Amino acid sequence: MSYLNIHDLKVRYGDFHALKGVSFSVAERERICLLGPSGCGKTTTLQVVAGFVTPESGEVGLAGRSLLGFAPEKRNIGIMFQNYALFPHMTVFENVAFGLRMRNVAATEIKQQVTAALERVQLAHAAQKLPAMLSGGEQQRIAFARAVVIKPNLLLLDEPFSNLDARLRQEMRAELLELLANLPIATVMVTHDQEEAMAIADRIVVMRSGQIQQIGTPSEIYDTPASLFAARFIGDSNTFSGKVMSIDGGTAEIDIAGVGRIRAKNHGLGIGATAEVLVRPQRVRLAQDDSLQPCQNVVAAIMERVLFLGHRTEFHVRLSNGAMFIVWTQDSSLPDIQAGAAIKLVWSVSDAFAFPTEN
Amino acid sequence: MSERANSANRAIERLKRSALGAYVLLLSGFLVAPIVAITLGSLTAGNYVSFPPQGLSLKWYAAIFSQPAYLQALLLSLVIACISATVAIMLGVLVALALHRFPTRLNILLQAFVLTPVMLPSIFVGLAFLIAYTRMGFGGTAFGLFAAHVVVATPFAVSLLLVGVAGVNPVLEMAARSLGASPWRARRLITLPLIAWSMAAGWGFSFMMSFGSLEISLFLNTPKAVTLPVAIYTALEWSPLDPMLTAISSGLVIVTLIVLLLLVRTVKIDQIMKRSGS
Amino acid sequence: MRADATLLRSWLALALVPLVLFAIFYVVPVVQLFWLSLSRFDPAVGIIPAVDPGYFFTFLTDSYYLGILGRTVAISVATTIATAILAYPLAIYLLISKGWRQTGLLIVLVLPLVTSSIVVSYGWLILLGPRGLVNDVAMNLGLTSTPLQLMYTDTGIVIGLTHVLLVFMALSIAASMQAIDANLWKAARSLGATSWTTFRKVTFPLTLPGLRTGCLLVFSLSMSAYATPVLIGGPRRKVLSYLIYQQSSGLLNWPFAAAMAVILLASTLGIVAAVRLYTHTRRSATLRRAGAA
Repeated sequence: MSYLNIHDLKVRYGDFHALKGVSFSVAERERICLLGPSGCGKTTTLQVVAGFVTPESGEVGLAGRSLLGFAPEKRNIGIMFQNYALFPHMTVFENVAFGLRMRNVAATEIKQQVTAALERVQLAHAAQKLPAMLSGGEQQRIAFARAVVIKPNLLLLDEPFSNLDARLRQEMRAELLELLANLPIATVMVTHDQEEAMAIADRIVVMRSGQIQQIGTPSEIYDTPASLFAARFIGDSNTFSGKVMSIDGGTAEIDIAGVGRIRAKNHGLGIGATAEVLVRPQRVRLAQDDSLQPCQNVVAAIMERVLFLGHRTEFHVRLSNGAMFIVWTQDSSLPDIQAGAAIKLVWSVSDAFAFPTEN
Repeated sequence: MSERANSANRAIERLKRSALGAYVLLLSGFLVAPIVAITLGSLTAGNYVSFPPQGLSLKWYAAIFSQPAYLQALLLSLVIACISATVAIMLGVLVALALHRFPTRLNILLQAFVLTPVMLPSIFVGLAFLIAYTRMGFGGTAFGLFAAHVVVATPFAVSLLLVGVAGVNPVLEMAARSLGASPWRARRLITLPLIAWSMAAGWGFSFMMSFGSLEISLFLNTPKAVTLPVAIYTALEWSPLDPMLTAISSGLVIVTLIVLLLLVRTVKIDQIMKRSGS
Repeated sequence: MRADATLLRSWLALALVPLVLFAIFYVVPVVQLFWLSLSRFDPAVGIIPAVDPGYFFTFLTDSYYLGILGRTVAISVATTIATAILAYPLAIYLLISKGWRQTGLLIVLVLPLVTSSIVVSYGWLILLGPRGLVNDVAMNLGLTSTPLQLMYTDTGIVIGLTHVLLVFMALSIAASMQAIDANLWKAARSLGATSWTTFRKVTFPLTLPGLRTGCLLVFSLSMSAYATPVLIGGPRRKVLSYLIYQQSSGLLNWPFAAAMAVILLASTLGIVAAVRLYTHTRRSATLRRAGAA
């Protein structure tokens, strides 16, 4: 049974439609991530759930009861904000105690619960410090402690790492996963970073322009994207444009000018339509010979440069129509291929997706 | 670069810096000159203001206490300034929050109403107040004076409060609400303490503007309700070299200076410097 | 739509009281004044409501009145130039100094503004009067044999206005200087420019917006100043504000005073708008030339 139920949510600001009918549900211990570019409506959805934005129509239900009539302070939802939003003029203790104070919990009880919460995040020694004296990681832990000490029904995370550099992001992400591991409540996270979404979420909701493009587990979206947008947004890709020549069951044959014929999994294309074909860099193999298997695509290319990035090697190759194509491999046993050498790119038909072109 | 050229350059830089410092010192002297002159004039032991003062004495300060008219004027000025400043920052907080947190076009109306009093010539505003307040029935009363002072002080309060409000992340109030605080409680516990310094600065500035206000008070004064600047102004026309006047003026300066110095201690200069272009 | 409505309600909760209070105590008086400038006045009868721009013509066709307007403008321009020149080094110092020096300069700059104009003008009287300190020192040093007439002159007014308004110019320039990328200065020096050339060719041009803001601000404030010009200039060197006060308090001819107040406002706004237009067209012309090149 779903714990948080969002049904056909519509939000409008004057003429601007921020949400155009969004529906999804979150199970009791599930972690969902709303993923999309800025302006897609993911933060608006969070704000509706939190109670700071009133929708035009639609339903938000928590454990069967509608949340919509309740003011934010009555919803008992824990929120971790971008930049943590720790109260700068209050000590760590007062920050974490705030929610309990609002619930008129007795002072001795507050002291007990807050100290326990701080111990759980290993910051009991920092109780009397001001937030400004803490490091980013410590602030994150306090923000977490503050949000969960009130025993919320739901946890919301708003772009928790958007202002950090790459290295710090990874550390914080790992820490957050640790913290969430021991917390069995429904969690909704918002982010524009697909790697983050894939790392943290059980299921991802891909959003664009106020609508949901696809809902699925990270691997479902990665391996079987439902739209060009979803395919491009998650994971890396090479794309080409071409015209659909023929359709055979679920496979389309597309003619790419200057390159040749490619077969790919068809997503709603008709014969004669313009298609975008997508292939992930790590699904492509380099080959020297021409042997073509029945469910494979083979394309000729010239090697331009090889980049050794430590954890993988990138091959930048040029196709016969002049376009650049990127191949990744972690296989260090490949023979050295010189720049300028002619090679063949091989990938399975099931690893290529063909979508209608979007504007 | 050669050693000699290098040290020559450094010497020139040092010279430029001390030239700048000397210039600033000179100009500072210019800026405080009239006020220092008043203070020196009031310390004279003689019977009229002259340079150099004929001996030093505090007798003219003592003499103030025997002049009930001036003491009354001082009291009136203090009371009006305190109340105007308080009302000004209360209004100022409301306006600053509305302007900063709600990007609606209606704010143009709010800005036009609340921020323009200082943009219009003071004589224009004073005359408008005189005529309208007289017609409304409170022309020559302390209430009229007080209303006028609030109108003129609020724009300053709003400017300073805007700096304060801009320094507070609105998400903090949202965080407080998500933890169970009602909107009013969230504002009281979170936002107000964080803008307290700008409220103090706004109050101090409004106090000083009201306390020293001459133009508006001239228009709205009656024989009964005279503020200190106006009292000095009228007295000046009769006896410009009376040291008692300088003593009272110094008293005015002292009150102003006290408030200014207290204000400086609470204010965050760097945040104001960043926004002073507006 | 409902999101909009809650926004409006929250805004109104904050803005309603200030709006209503200011409407009553500020907007109504100001609108009344504009309206009143079109009325007539008869000393025997009082104010005669009318829609008659007569007093405007009276003012604009009389050389005496126009002369006063002219003097007001001239004084304001002189003050603007004086503050612009004097404020630049102050702005630089404000930005490079720290701690008590910076605070001290700010206090000293703000002091003339927050101290009552009556006190400041009285101070100038003591300093600039015929037996004042300045003349005392000048005569003792033999710089002049007759006392310098500084009080009750236009020069004295300019000195007084500069004294009060310097802070606005200094802060405007300082604000625009602060917005300049710190690395620009380093880039110029690394390319071989001396600090003076860097100031001339890099810093100064980039502070022109701040200078412009400051000039317009100081000009407007000078035009509308009352206490300082009246107290230092006296009744012989009248500025427009003084004329307005005379008409309203002395002669009780409120409509005429109102008309003059409107003329004062219009002149200030007119000149400000003209300057803005001029600098704007110059800037667009430069941009157009740059784009065409």
